[in-house]
This record gives sequence, structure tokens and C-alpha cells, in this order.
Amino acid sequence: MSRARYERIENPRPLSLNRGVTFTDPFGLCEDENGNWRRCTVTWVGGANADITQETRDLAQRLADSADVDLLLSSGRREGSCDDSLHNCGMAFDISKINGVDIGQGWVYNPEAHALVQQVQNTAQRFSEVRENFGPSGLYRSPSSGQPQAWLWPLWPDRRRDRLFWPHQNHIHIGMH
Amino acid sequence: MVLMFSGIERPTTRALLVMVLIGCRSQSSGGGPPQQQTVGDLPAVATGCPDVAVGDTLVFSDVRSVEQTGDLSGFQFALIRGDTGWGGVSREAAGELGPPMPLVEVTIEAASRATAFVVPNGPDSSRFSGTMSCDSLFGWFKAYRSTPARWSVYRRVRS
Repeated sequence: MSRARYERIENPRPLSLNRGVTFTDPFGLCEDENGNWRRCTVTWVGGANADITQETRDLAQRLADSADVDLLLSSGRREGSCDDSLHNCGMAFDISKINGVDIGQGWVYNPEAHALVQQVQNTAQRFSEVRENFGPSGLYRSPSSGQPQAWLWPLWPDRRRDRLFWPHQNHIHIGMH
Repeated sequence: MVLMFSGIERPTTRALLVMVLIGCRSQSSGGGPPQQQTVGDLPAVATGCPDVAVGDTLVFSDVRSVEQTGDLSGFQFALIRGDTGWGGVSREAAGELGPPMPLVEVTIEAASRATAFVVPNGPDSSRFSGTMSCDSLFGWFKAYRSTPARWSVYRRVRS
């Protein structure tokens, strides 16, 4: 059993994200700077409140594992009413870096992060518990638990869409039902 | 009555003029109390900005909140003049305001108020080049080598 796993890990070619391969491995493995495989990680920017619900924490880890990427979270729980933001209930998190690559700077999207952002947002679309999936690759929202996420662009008027789209050029917002 | 009024007005005007000159001289020369020398004379910033005192840190921001998620997005810059020149810190908002990161290559020309600095970001540093006014910092922000510079306006945040 351990031998079979060892052989798989020793041949990184089919798992390498650097070559633009979208193949997803079943283990949630990421490559470190020395080329060794390890578990994908979810870490936090210093100062951000990581006190999110266990379900949300699990979702972040499953998202990292399924997309085979390391995630850096820049925001978790915040003060305020749950009606105003899922963050205020500990049911949302924001991703600012994927595999150490920043998603954007301020209002400007990083073109180098394009494939990684698409990979994470596409993966998040497959999770039925994800309610809000907002980022540079698109704005997706599920109306209720279990319902697929709808692409908001064709549905919303330009002004409302822009107010949501442009501020999500430097991070991906993921919120849960 | 008129003479009396003129007699009072003349010294007052002179006194005001002297006060302004002394104030300008102390700011532009950088002399005076140690705190003026440490934090900077701010001549370019102080000119025409009545609410800017010597020793103030100037904070500019384009951070905005998103209605649906409450997320914050944008940049906040704080510019400070030290012993060896200008310095500053940036805080990026990617959901919420992140930790302060030092700016490098900060230059502010006194006469023109031309302002430039670099936001270190790994191999691909972001650069700002523009002008400072009493109320805002405006100019071109080039986030990445491969992206075009974006016209940006950072409003001054008064504490």
C-alpha cells in the first residue's frame, strides 16, 4: 500500500500544475520548493481572524485539496450582522494567494494567476455547499443549498455587476450556505 | 477714529506677516525643535494645506467596501518623512486590510509634489508615479510588468 503510494509520488509529471495540467490527483498533493509532494495547505495572513466555523474551515481545506493548490486566506470572521455578510457568521473566507502567487494588487488582476484562479473557482463551483464564489474568473452564486451556482453576469445589470466584480480582482470570496 | 483704527491695524498685519514668514522659514529650513527634524519639514505637503502640521503622517486610500460581501478592496498608503528622506507603508485590502508592508524608493519632490514609490511584491513589484495634493494622491499605478498602468486616485484619510 505504502509502496504504491510511493511510486505515484515519485512520478510527479501527471500531477504538476506548473505545466498547466488540470488533472486532479485523489490525494490533494502539492509540490514544495524542493520538488517533494506534501499535503496542500491553507494558511492565514497575519492579523486576519481565523475563527471561522469548522464547516467553513473544512471547506477551505477540501477546496485546496481538490484544486491541488496551497491557499493563503486574507480574511475570515469579521464584526457585524450575518445579514450584511457571511463573514460575520464565520461562514466565508477570502483567498489572496494561490501557490504563493498573488491574485491581484489592489484593483488590478494578476495575469500570471489566471490559470490558478480559474482552477480554484471552477473547483468551488462543484461544491454544493458554496453559496458565493466571487473572483476574477467570474461571479457565481447558488440561490439555495444544493442548487448549482449560477453565473451572475448575464443576469445582473451592468452597474450592480461591476460593483461586485471589480473589487474582487485581488481575491476570491467563498461563502457557504 | 479712522486714525485710531489704522494705528491698530498696522501692527496686527505686520504681526501676521511675521508669523507666516517665521512659520514658512522654520518649515522649509528644517530647523527648530528635534521633532521637526525627525519627522520632516513637509514643505511641499504643507504649502497650501492648512491642516497638515509638521510631524503628521499622511494617509491616502482607495479602499472601498463591497455591498454584498462586506469585503474591502484597494490600497492604503501612509507616507512619512524620516531623517534620511521619505518612507512609508502600504496596506492592501483583499477582503480586509492586511498587515503594513514597507514601501521602497519613496521620492517626493518639494516643488512639484511629484510622488513616486514602489510596493514590493516578490519579483514583480508594483510602482506608483503621480502627484500629491492636500486631499489626494493621484497618478499611475502599475501593478505588474505585464499589465498597463492604471489611473488611480487615493483620497486622504484624516484621522
